[in-house]
Amino acid sequence: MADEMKVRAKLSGSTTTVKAIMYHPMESGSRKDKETDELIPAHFIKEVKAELNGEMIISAEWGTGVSKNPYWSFEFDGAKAGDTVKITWTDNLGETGEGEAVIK
Amino acid sequence: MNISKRKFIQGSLYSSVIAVLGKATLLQSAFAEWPTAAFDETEYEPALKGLIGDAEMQEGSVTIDVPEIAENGATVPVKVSTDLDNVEWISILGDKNPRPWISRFYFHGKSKPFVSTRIKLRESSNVVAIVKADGKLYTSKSAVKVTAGGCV
Repeated sequence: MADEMKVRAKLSGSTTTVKAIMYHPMESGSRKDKETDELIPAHFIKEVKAELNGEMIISAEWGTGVSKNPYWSFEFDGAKAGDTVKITWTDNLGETGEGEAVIK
Repeated sequence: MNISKRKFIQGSLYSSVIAVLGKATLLQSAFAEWPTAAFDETEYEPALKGLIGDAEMQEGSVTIDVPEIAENGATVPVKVSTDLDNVEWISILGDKNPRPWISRFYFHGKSKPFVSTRIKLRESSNVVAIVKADGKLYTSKSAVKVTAGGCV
């Protein structure tokens, strides 16, 4: 679980900036395995949500055009240092991953 | 005593069930529209139609920050922002990709209408951003020259 995601959240003025990297292959389903010449099955994050102290702040829908090991940064107001930002993803195979950061 | 205790337990059971149902509904509504119709299309125009139907878009009011030249199409940095109020979502497409629709971000609470992400581009193409704000659609595009295509 610990290696699924890196999340940083930093408060500057009234705005919190979150930067996250999720470790995921984001396979499109159209790439071929070079050795077997067979298609590598699609395996990609479909849904992501970011919550501040349990309240939804941003949710997202992703397709296969998002790069491998997705990077995502976003901003919001109304938080204070010590609050928790949690990011959760679900992929097309039903697997999930999560990561969180305390706002600094 | 027993009755009141049972009633109490029943009561709390019901409220837990309602709480769980409420949460499930909330989660579902956040993702109720995962745009299969857009994702399934392999050409830009049909993918766009899958996303917004026949709705009209207004040019401008959307800022896209992309590199002019991307050496690696597998990971192209994209930032999209807008000064529009009441932004519901921002969606990103690549008009030459094998699946042109890439992503959509919904803004709740005090989030800012801004997204920074990295996308795959198969070849030199336009990155298109669409913003839905106050029920209306706005769009901008920006060309990226890709020197080595992403494995999309």
